[in-house]
Amino acid sequence: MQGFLPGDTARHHRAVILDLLQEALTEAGLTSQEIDCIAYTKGPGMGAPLVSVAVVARTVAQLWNKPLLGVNHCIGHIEMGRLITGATSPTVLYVSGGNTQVIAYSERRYRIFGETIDIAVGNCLDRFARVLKISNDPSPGYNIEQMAKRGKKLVELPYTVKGMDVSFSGILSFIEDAAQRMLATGECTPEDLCFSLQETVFAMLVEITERAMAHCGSQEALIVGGVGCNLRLQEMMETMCQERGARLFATDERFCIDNGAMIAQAGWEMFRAGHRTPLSDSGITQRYRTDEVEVTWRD
Amino acid sequence: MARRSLAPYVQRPRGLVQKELSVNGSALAIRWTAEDPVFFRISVNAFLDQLSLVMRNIRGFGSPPMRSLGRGKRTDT
Repeated sequence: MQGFLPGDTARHHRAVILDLLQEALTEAGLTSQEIDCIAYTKGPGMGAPLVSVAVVARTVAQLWNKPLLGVNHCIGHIEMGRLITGATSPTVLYVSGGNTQVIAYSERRYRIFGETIDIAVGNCLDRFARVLKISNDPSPGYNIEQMAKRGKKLVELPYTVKGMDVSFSGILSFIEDAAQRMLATGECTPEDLCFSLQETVFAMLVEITERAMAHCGSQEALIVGGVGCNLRLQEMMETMCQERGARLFATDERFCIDNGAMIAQAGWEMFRAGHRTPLSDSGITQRYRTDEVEVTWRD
Repeated sequence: MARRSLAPYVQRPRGLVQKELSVNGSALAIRWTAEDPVFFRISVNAFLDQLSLVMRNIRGFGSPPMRSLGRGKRTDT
C-alpha cells in the first residue's frame, strides 16, 4: 500500500488527457472557437503530473489562440467552495492530503493565518491507515471515517497546536510506535484508534479555525479539500460555528476532492479580472503559496 | 509551437543536466549537457515522454474545429 507516485501519476495523465479533453468538448457541445481561455494548475503539487498537464495547456492555447491562465490549486478549492456554497467572505479551512491551511481573504490576498508545520492532515490520516493496514479502497480517509464510527474508547494522542499552527508528525510517530503494542494487548481496537485520531486531529483544526475567525471577526467558515468530505469534521466545525453564532459551509465529495472544475472556476475569475499567464511564465511550481497570488477579482 | 510548449519545462534547473531547445526550420533541436549518464538517460526519457504528448496533442487538435453534438448545445439548422 502506498500513496500516489509522481511517475505513475504523470504517466496516467499523459495517457488520458487528450481523450479527456476531447470528451469534455464533445459532452459540452463546444468547439475550440467557443472556449474563452485555458486554465491549468500551475502548482503546488507533484512536479511530473503538473508538467504533463501544463504542456497540453500551452499547446492548445497556441493551437486555438486562447489566453493561458496558471491557477493556484489551493485557490481553485477556495473559489469552487465559494461558488458552490454561496459563502461570501469565509474563514477557510483547507484540508487535504497535501495541504492544511486556515485562510482568510484580506487586501487582495488569501492570507494564511495558520497551517501545518510538518505534514498535512490528510497525509497523517493516510499514513495512519498504512500502519493499521487499512484498505486504500475507496480511500484511506474514508475507511478511517467508517471505522471511527464504531470506535468506543478515546485513546489519548498527542495534541499539538502551536499558536495558529498545527503539527501532525507527533501523532503519526506515536501511532507508528504504539499502535501494534496497544492492539496486541487488547488495550484498544483499530476502530478505537481511528476514532481517537479523528477526534484529536479534527479538534486541533477546529481550534485554529476558531482562533482565525475570532481574529478576523468572521461569521462564516468554509471547509475545502479532500479531508473536508469527512462528516465528523463537518460536525465538529458546525458545533464550533453554532457556539459562535457563525455559519458553516461545506461541500460533498464532488467538490471537496481535487477536480478540474475548480481550476476552471478560479481560472474564470482570474480571466474576468484581466489575468493572463504569458507562455514564458507558464512553468509549473511544486511550491506555490496560497498568498502568492494577487486576488484582483474580489473587492 | 512544440518548442514554446516545452520551453518552460526545459528551463527549470535540474541540477546536473542542462537542456537547450532551438528550432531549425521545421526541426526541433535539443542539446543536452550532463555529467552523469544516469541523469542524462532519465532526462532524455522524461523529455521524450513530454514531446510525444505535445506531438499527439498537435496532431489531435491542430485541425480546424468542427461543431460536435453534445448535451450542451444543438447545431444550428
